[in-house]
Amino acid sequence: MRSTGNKVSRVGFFQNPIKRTRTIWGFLFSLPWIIGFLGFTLIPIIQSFYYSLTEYSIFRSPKWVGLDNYVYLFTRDRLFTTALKNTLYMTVFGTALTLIVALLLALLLNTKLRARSLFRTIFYIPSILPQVASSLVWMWILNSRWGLLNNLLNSLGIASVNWFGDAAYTKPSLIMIGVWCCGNIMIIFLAALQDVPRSLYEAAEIDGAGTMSKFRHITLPSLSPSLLFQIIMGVINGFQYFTQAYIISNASGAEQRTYGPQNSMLFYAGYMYSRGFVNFDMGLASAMAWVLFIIVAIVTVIILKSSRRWVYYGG
Amino acid sequence: MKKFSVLLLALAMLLMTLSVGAVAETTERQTVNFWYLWTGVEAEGMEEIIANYNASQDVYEVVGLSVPDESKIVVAIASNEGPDVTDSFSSNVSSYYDQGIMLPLNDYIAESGYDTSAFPEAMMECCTVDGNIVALPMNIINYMMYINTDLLEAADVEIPTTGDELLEAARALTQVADDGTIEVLGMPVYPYGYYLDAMVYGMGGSYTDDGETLNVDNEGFRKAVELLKAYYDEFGYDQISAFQTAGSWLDSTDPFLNGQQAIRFDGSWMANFISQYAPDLNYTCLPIVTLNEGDTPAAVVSSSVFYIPSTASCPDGAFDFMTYLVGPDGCKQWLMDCTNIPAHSALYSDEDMLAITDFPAYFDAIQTNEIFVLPTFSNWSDCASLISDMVEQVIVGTYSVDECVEQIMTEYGYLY
Amino acid sequence: MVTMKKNKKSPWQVRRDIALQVVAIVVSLVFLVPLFWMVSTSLKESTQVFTNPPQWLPNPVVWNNYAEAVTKIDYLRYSGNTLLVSVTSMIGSMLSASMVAFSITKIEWFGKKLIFPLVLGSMMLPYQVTMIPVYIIWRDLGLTGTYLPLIIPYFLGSSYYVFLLRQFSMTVPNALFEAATIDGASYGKQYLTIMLPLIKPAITSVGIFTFLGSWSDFLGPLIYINNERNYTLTLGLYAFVSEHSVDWHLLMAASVVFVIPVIIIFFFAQKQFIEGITLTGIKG
Repeated sequence: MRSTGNKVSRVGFFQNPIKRTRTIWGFLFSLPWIIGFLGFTLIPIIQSFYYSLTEYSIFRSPKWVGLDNYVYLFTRDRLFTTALKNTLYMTVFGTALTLIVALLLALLLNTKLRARSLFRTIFYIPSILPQVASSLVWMWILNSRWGLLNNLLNSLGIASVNWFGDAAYTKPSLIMIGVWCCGNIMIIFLAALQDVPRSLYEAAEIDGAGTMSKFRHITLPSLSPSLLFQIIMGVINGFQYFTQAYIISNASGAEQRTYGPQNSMLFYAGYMYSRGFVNFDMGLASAMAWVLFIIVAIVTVIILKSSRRWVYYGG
Repeated sequence: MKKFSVLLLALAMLLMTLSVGAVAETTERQTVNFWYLWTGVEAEGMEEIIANYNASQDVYEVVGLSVPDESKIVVAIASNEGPDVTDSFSSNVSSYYDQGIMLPLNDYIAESGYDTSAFPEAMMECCTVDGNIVALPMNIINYMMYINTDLLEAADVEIPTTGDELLEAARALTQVADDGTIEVLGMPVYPYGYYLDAMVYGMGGSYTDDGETLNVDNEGFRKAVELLKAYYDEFGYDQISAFQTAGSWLDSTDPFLNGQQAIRFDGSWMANFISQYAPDLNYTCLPIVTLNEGDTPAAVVSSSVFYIPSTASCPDGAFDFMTYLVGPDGCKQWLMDCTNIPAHSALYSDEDMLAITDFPAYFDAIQTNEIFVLPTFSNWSDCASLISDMVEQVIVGTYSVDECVEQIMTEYGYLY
Repeated sequence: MVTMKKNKKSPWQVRRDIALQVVAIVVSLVFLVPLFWMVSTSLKESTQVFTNPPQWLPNPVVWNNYAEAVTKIDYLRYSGNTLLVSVTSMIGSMLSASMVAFSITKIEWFGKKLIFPLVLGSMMLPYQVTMIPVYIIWRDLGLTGTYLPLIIPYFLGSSYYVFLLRQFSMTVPNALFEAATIDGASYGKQYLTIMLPLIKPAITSVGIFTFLGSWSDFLGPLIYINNERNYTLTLGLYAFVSEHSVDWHLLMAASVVFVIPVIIIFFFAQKQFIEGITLTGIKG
């Protein structure tokens, strides 16, 4: 069907009533987004950069301090490096494990299993539960004395683990929760798997390819676009990790340290929140936001660049 | 004639309604919004105080609201939708004042002739910044040593009076199962946060020399950390942590209330919880141990204070209510119900107060011990977390006590 | 010939199938345990919560826990608040995201090529970067402490949902729209009479996801809602937990009640869920 767009494209805006109508209407329908983008994305990004160069507690007006905030973060803030390290740990190991489990489950569901949709439901539901609720359940399950997991371990003869009280186990516990909630990623992988034409597999079988080989040469490449997207989103979400850690470290009373034992649950987003909304040091918090922005941008670019080598964009 | 009398009657009625209306207008109360951090039973007590106040006068009407998350109160104040009166802790006074959150009260005090000498000097010190009185104290939060006398007798241990004796007693009182799990904790390291403040000052040390800057390079601080480290070294950080995370503070699983902790540092509210969860517990309540035999015990105190936010819409009412609240009439019942020690000295000789379990011991401590106030400089919360993190490194084994002190002082220099 | 092949299953294959079935069952049990435990604890008496070894089935079954939990946490009010926020957010995002998707896929104008990359970019922006200035903007407008900061962004075309609808709209043939244009139908009319009905399944997904996202949102209410009377459920639950003593049986009961609407919505709208995710996920 021939589009009329080409014919009018060379004529200017004011001369051409059709183009004018289209532009106006296009603009009008996009207006909500434009307002949102300008007012809540673009301008705030610029403002945030400005604030990062000031000392700003919201009770008073901002005071220019130049790069002081950044210098402080990198040379004098002892918790900054801890926050970064913890966040990196969570991002790398958490994302990796979650993606692997999601993939394995998707592969499982892609076979000729009975009651597939039941299993799919079971695996999916944890991912849509409110994070507040799942944090609380797991806090209870991982309670060091009365929790279910330690009880099970004990009955198998394994000593109890102090899940949220021992600095070595806090992040693995959080990763456990994350993996439990991998259902939505699993669904994506499953859909991608089901998109792979059977003919490819059958052809490979005829050629005598084994399971591993089929996986490496057909499944993985077909999945690679989804994998790439999930890896990038996983990294971005990893750096924004906040809710579960916040709830668990602040729950109940005198014993809990603000950021977990030896600050092991101090994550970047939580530290930023604390600097901005508890200490009201908005300038420093903004500087933290920009550092994060740059890190995420660099990491994303690196991943994208490396993706050329292993991502296969099939027809 | 009839017409005239009808007219007169109408006029009289009109005058009456107008005057009634006028009187009603002038007696319409101004609303004073009061947000408090307490919840549960303590919140109910607050509401009673509010009701009593409202009944005792007719100029202001106080409306109470429980807002347990303090950062929300501060944010609300910052956004101009905060209350007229609210509470906080003495440790925040300095930083809140610096941020411009609190309204200075000197003028109100001068105008109304309010007598602040009824409060102990140390308490008024907490509430004053740069000569500005910005808050009024309601209670005194002081930690004393609670000892389970049954466990003490069973282990044939004497009541410790010095730091070294405390460590010895703790060692003897701790019971360990075959696999190393701790069944009875001897040292007052639960709640973990209460040990350090009490012991540092107890051992004659302090966190600051001049009240303005941090300094932990003193004997008392070192001694407190050494004793702590010795205990952790002997019984194992992992085991002690496991013990600490197993129970919940002040509820049915609280270790002391279940006879699983021999010595404990805690506050005047313990009597309340003991009678609720462990009425048969035999215990004694004493001042914190000292460095040497015969030293005067030290009490490091803080307080719940009330202040008027700088964005309050009805500060007059706020001040009036506040003075009622911290006065003997206002909070006496609340303090008794929640077993908190009063700040107002008129209550120290009050019979009802003295009849409450452990109160005589606390009153005695307040009046005879050396009183220290927890530092109130504006970045104290950063300092506190710094100290706590470094001490944690000591008990984990990464730092020695000297390294810890060094690190604290170095990092303090870096703080913003 | 094909039928013959299907019936012939090697013993190795049969064993493999059984093994996979077993694996699936075991894994799904593991996944279910937390949920089961949540319900089980919610029905226990407080003394039976702390037992060693753990009690799998509560005995007696204390339904009263639910009544207690719901009154202790002022549940009804919080639910009302949360419902208000979630439903308005849902309407907002369905409206605005569909409008924007319509604009960038069905109208030939210069913004068509410009806007989509920006949408993608905003999706990848960590929220921290704009969190503080946005908060300050709301504060200067005097709107902190209200629900508006939570709701309005959805009315302004939230990137994720614009993306979702755009992907779906691309699969809707332009022919219908072009024909309508030739017939002289205004874009407004096209949007209402052609676009909306055609993308109904995708819009439903957007609606559901928005509702759930808003229902579960924690950081937003944490920052913007100060007065306890206005708390949403996430904040209410958190406030309940951050006090000094945790009544696990009550807390689990509250969590169950919190979680049930989500599960119900899922059961009624499974298809939309799956479709919605796959639309965004399979992307090159």
